[in-house]
Amino acid sequence: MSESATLVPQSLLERIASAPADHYRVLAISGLSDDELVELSQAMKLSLPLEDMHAIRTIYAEWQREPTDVELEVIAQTWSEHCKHRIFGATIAHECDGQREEVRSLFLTYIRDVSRRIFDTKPGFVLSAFHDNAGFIKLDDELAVCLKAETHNHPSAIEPYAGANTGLGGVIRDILGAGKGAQPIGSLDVFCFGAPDTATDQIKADDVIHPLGVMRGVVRGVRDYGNRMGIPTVSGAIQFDPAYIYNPLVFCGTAGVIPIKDIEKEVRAGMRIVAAGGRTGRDGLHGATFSSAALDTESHEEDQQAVQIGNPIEEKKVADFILAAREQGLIEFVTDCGAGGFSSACGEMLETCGGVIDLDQVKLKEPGLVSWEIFISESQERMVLAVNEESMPRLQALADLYETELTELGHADGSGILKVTHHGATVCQLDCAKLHDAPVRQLTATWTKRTASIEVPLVANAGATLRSLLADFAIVSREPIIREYDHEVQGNTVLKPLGGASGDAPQDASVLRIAGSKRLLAMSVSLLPEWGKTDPFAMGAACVDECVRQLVAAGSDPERLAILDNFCVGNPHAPEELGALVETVKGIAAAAEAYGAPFVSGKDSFYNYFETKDGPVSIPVTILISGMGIVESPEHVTGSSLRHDDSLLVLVGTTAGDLGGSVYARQNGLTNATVPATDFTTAMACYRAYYQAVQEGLILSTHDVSEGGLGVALAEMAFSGKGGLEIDLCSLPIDATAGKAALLFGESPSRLILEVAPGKLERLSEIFAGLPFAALGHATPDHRQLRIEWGKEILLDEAIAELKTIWKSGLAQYY
Amino acid sequence: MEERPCAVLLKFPGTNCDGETSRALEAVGFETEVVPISALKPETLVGVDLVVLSGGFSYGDYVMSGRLASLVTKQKIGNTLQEFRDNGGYLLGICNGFQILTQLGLLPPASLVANASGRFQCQWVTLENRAPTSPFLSRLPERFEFPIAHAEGRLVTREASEAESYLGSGAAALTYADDVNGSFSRIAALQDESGRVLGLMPHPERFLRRRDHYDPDWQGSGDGDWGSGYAFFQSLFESITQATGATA
Amino acid sequence: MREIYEISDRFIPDADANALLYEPLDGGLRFRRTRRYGLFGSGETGAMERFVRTTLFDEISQDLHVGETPALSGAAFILEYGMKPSALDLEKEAIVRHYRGLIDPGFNLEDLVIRQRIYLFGAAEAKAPVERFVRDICNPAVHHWQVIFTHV
Repeated sequence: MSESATLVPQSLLERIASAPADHYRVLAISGLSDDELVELSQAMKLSLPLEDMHAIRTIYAEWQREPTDVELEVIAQTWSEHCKHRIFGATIAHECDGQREEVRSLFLTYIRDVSRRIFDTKPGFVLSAFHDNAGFIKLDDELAVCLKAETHNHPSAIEPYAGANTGLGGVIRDILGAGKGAQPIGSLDVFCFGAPDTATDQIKADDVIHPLGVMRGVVRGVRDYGNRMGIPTVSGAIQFDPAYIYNPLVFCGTAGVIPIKDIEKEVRAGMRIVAAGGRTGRDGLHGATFSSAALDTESHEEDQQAVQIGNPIEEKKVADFILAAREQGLIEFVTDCGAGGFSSACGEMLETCGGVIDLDQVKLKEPGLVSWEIFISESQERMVLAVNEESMPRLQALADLYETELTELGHADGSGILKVTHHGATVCQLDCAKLHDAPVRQLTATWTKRTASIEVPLVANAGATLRSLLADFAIVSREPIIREYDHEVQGNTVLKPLGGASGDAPQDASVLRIAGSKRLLAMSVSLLPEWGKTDPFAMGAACVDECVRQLVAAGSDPERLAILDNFCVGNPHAPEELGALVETVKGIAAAAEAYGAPFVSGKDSFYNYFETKDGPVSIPVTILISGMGIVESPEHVTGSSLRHDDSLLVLVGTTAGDLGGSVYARQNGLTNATVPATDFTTAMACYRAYYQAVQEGLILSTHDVSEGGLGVALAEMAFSGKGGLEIDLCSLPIDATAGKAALLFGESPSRLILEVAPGKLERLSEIFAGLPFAALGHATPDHRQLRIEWGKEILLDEAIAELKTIWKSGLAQYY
Repeated sequence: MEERPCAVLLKFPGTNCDGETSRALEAVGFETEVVPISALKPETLVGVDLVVLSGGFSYGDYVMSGRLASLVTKQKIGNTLQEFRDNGGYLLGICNGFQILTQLGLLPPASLVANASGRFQCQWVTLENRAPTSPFLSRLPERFEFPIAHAEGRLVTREASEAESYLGSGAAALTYADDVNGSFSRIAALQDESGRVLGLMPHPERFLRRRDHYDPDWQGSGDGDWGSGYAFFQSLFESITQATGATA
Repeated sequence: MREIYEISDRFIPDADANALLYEPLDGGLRFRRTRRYGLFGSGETGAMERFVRTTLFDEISQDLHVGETPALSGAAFILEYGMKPSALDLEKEAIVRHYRGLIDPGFNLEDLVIRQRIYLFGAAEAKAPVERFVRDICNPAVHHWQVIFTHV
């Protein structure tokens, strides 16, 4: 080449691509070096590491051809973390305190196999798990309920409103795509943010949205989708921690109900593949692979395109259509268009059967999209169905009735091959079976236990401590946020997030009436990231325990619970972070097995770390356990607020001396205190006894003890305003190490405060014979104080109204 | 065999409370049918006793809440709703339905705009019954509670004095006991001169049963298992069956 | 012909502009919103205005301003944004669909452009934090926007 010519270096893509037409390209990967393979993955934003690129090249060598850009995009979507759980399926060499082991797939070993053993102990309860878009349990002979939770973290860091908005929209679609179309009945949302009062100089990177802004955007985004869809948002939690400043977490979950006969679904040759709902555009491209990349300052600019734009009214119309179509027996198979768009939905549907999809049929939001853009677009509010040809006219009539668009995309043909055509050319031809052979990752993990028992004298002024806890962001009332969510739509929310006589006191779980059944559904959530900083195994166990005890407290049958595991992790290639994950998974598995509460669904999100000026900042391993429980009768629904001024209060469960993980420990700088362990056997026995008491009508109200310990839990119960409380801690079942600080503010798991009428105490004691069960005190009409004593010593004596004011106003100035 | 009174619920894209509103109507004895707007024709209302516009976000609140729904309705059936009312029919608008009725001109002039707080408000409110002879409110006591859930529930009139005059004229059927959202004269519901058209922002269908109340010890009017919402729909059922002579 | 119709809310006073932002600013800025409908067509201007008054405007709670000039005065700057021409604008579709259903509107509507306006009040110095508002309100994937400085 002559030096005098102006040389524009050709990019790798330009060199290897040939364009048979202007809407797709064939990419010659067979001759590429390792470096070039990696560069190609980056250039196309595939987020595929070298071993995956090798595997792809091998597949195409077998097929004796080069891939098209569409095919590479499809494989990248399918093998992305979001779609395929590469980390949870990996082989991990794990070392914990010198003990080595090899974990072959966290998912198979600790989630699926544990759950299968539980399924065997209660046949007929779990109707479908880890298979469809959600997990199903039996409600009664006719109906099943399901739950799914997802995270939408990276988009919410970039565009908090849009990211959260479409996060909820996406999980609602999962429910619509579960079975032949489940009806969404309630949502939960769990957020992890930096503190709203974070000082600007604490943020060590440019272009990071301040946590206050993230919180406002996320809360509004979820609000606007859930309210418009008419699905009550009934359950939720917010955690604040500096580590979430750069990587906020947004978990959205939705529960659904469906006739049992409509759970099984199948695609067979000859069926038409039909898209329903919104149109397809450029919004949301690379959402799935985007979630597999870490964030940095440039993310905001480049990746706004990867954030989807939501339109809940479109989703409501398609939801109405799907449910009506299912009722008329017109749906053979349905799934949602989520991560990976049509490529995932059609890939999943045509997995065994194979078929042909014609992109010319797709209705577009804007002209000029090339083949891969159409096929992997993550434009929202789209569902894909497989239907019998003869059903098409009635389906079209229904779509017209509900004013949603229907498009026939193709058909299933029994070939086992996914073939995609566009403008007369075949732009993709994939043997779907091959797409499951993603290389198994090999990873290293390590964890060292790091706690110490600490003798902690009680801070002199327990009242001041209690006030300080009630003002902590971890504990303050979330009322300003809860009131923005319609939690009453559908008219079935029997136990609401805020309740009690004053209508504003926190409840432990939510309970929904289910139309067509006399049984009800309880929902609850738990996350304790603070615990995982020192003892991830204990955190895992305690999260399962908290979710279970909340469901049971509200009136669920302890034998009919099901849970979900949703993980958010920083860098899986950092051995300590992966080690914390492994230990957490072991903890949740041990608890789930002990409680007989199977996992029926789960999801994970990795790469939640940010490259700041001072190096990478990862989130702590964050496990969300969400759960559903069957409540046998409306009589069993139990709230958490004091009801009568002559009641007795008892405490179920043992209080240990361990203060680790507690808000008290954090406020007092006790970073290495031992985190309480969970005694599964005793806890389960207590929950069974409690359920017996519920069935006998002995319980007036129940509040579980969690953040802030007994002191906070008692205050919260008293917020109903029905009476004062006189408490004596002397007779509590405690272990020898427990000092007053632990008694008042420790967060030992598995404990419940029961409110019971005086005449019922004897029978209640019988039921709890042999279990940790002790009188706490009683309510009184004589005053409205929270008075806690230790024998003759008054530990605290606070006006409940003042405590409530502190608690109610904590978040109000920020939201 | 006697017929049950019949209620048609008009459903627009984005209407989302029709399920529980149907359920409430059926609980007191109505026969109900949800009619998506695409299927609405003037003939749809023949033989119908009650037309209900339920809550939700019709057309996503494009332009303004209720506007597109009212335009589409007028386009489809012209003045049929006015004639329906003039011939003795009843019309009920709940929340977004109230917004649509104001846009259709079926209620005294008023508009519903953004809450003074600028926020969505999901909470229970105490209401004052200012029209105890209204066919919708006859079984309700002087004060009772319903839940509200709206971002645009603030009732305004061109001049504040107009709203004030509604208190005296009877047009204001319900008022909020406290200033919940900045509504002029705290008006929560309006009725027309015939008394057969009512629009209210609160949701009676969400308080059908005693257990729907947030206080586990709420006893209300001692009506067993039912909540104040049941009394609301029951009033309407009785008024219609007495008026038409039909029985349940 | 082309006509601009700008609609403001009579009963919604100016509010704290921090509500629009992810992260609050000091400075006490306040804002008001309006909607600007640009109608392009042929026929009677009167008919076009009647269409706007019945379809898009509420005489009880809103004020209508016709023409190019800003509906509200006193702002330091105005952020105007709306959907990109190529992007699907469902609100516009709904209005145009309604127009097409009219029997005799009296004018021919050729195009409709919908814009939201945010008027910012109280930025005394020339250095108004415009970029913050643009960043937090506009989404470059679907929006076009412009900032208009009205010299106070």
